[in-house]
Amino acid sequence: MSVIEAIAAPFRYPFMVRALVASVLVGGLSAIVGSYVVLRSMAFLGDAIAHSVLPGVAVGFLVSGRGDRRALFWWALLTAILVSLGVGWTSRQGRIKEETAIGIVFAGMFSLGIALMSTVRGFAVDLVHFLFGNVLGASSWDITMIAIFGGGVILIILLFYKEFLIVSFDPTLATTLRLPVASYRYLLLILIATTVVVSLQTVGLALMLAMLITPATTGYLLARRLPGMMAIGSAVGILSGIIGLYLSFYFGIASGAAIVLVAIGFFLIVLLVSPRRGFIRRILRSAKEGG
Amino acid sequence: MTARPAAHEVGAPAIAVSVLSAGYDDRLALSDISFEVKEGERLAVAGPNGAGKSTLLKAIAGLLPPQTGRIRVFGHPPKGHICISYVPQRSEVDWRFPVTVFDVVMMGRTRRLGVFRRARPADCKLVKSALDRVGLLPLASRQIGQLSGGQQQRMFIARALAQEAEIILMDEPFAGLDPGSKSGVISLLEDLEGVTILVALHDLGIATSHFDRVLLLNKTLLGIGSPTDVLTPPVLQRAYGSCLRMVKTDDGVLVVQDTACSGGRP
Repeated sequence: MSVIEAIAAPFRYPFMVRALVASVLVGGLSAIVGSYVVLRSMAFLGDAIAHSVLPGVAVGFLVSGRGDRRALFWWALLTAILVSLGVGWTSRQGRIKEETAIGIVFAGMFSLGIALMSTVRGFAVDLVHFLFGNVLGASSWDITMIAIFGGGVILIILLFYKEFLIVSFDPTLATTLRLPVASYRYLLLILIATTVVVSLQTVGLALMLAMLITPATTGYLLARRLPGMMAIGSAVGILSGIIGLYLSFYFGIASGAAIVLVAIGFFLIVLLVSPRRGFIRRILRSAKEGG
Repeated sequence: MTARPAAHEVGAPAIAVSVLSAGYDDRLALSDISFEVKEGERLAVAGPNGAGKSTLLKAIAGLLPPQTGRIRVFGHPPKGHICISYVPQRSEVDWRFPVTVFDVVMMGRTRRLGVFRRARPADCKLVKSALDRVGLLPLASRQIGQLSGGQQQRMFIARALAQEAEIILMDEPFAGLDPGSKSGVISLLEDLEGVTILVALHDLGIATSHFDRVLLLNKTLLGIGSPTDVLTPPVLQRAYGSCLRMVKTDDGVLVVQDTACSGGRP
């Protein structure tokens, strides 16, 4: 088998083509949204939103009667948005720290999801599906939803780019310029929640956090400005999706795990060799200063 | 989504604070503060650590609501104004954030641009002239973490200029700066005609030599007026609990601790 054949082979199957489109869309989208997650140190929140989706999925499953995937999607989206707004609201009250609030909501919702699911026989398989995702099973409808909601998220980021930048970098400035800081924060939370839900299909909720923060952090190490961070992050996310799919196809590795491992590979390489914030550069510099 | 900024009342003082108490939760950092600042005045806000200097600046900026009392900026509550520029302590800024010096100064234009709008050529020109005025134009495309301490303060002054701020509130801008950087920032502030400037600082020498008036704070207002009137040994004793004296020399003012005076502690 020639190299070209090896590259083209997987895409004789329509499910592989759909998986490729889904991975590319999710890889790009989650890096852009993930940039805000990384810069505002909200990694824990992103993880919490992903895990909190589970009871929504369970309720959707119970209500709609067995795995109508479209119903599950809407239930997941509703839950994610409610959870993100709930966490945002709780942390604004200032009685308890934000990460404490997130920790309670996170564990509570996840347990609720597992409790609900455990009441249904034969749910174990579906649970694995949601925990780890299966991009190879993405339907055209799934892809349409990723495209519509992902497109909407990116459009909103473009429209409010400068406001989100200020709210992320300097909330104090945003307040003295009398921008509606709380509204922008909630909007950003909703965008993160939406991204998490449309991306669940590819890597699952257990690994969602990796797709939000790993490519974006790789971009952070290399870029001088936010648009550069987002562009590099997207490229890493998309490449990870593609390479991960090949690994999954040829070596039979679970697709979600393969995609995340490739993304982490990119991150580690950049961490070592990044010209500005890299590890090697730092060692060289300290050696020079020390000598 | 955003209300129109408050108009300035003709003849109203730039800042009027009356019987202000402010702080976090139930702990008051400041109580019973009253003073006025005229438009274009430069006021140094001095006092020991924890005296409430930051709290006062944040309250005037509208970042922290007063517990009791009243703040008026050009005749209206601070929350309605977009003419106030607040420069935080350097430790409160994320210097690794992926933005350039130009980006940060352009942020000052955000409200003037309005939502959904991108910067017009006129805005870019204004940002560049602000950068030029503070001497940072050659460094405009640097990531902000690559600036020195003095350059960081000058960047924030440029942002205030881009914002067309009429009141600049700076929290400890001289902390950790070398003497050359300090005097660079000072001369920039002295050149800002018509802008009302409040600077929280530790260095009583700078307060004396470069500011119109000094406000001395330690939870309450200990004095406000010309530096020579306010920074007298009894008042400094109340502020710092030790005997400080201001000694005028040819090169400026020295603050010395007088260990032999009656209030001095061993």
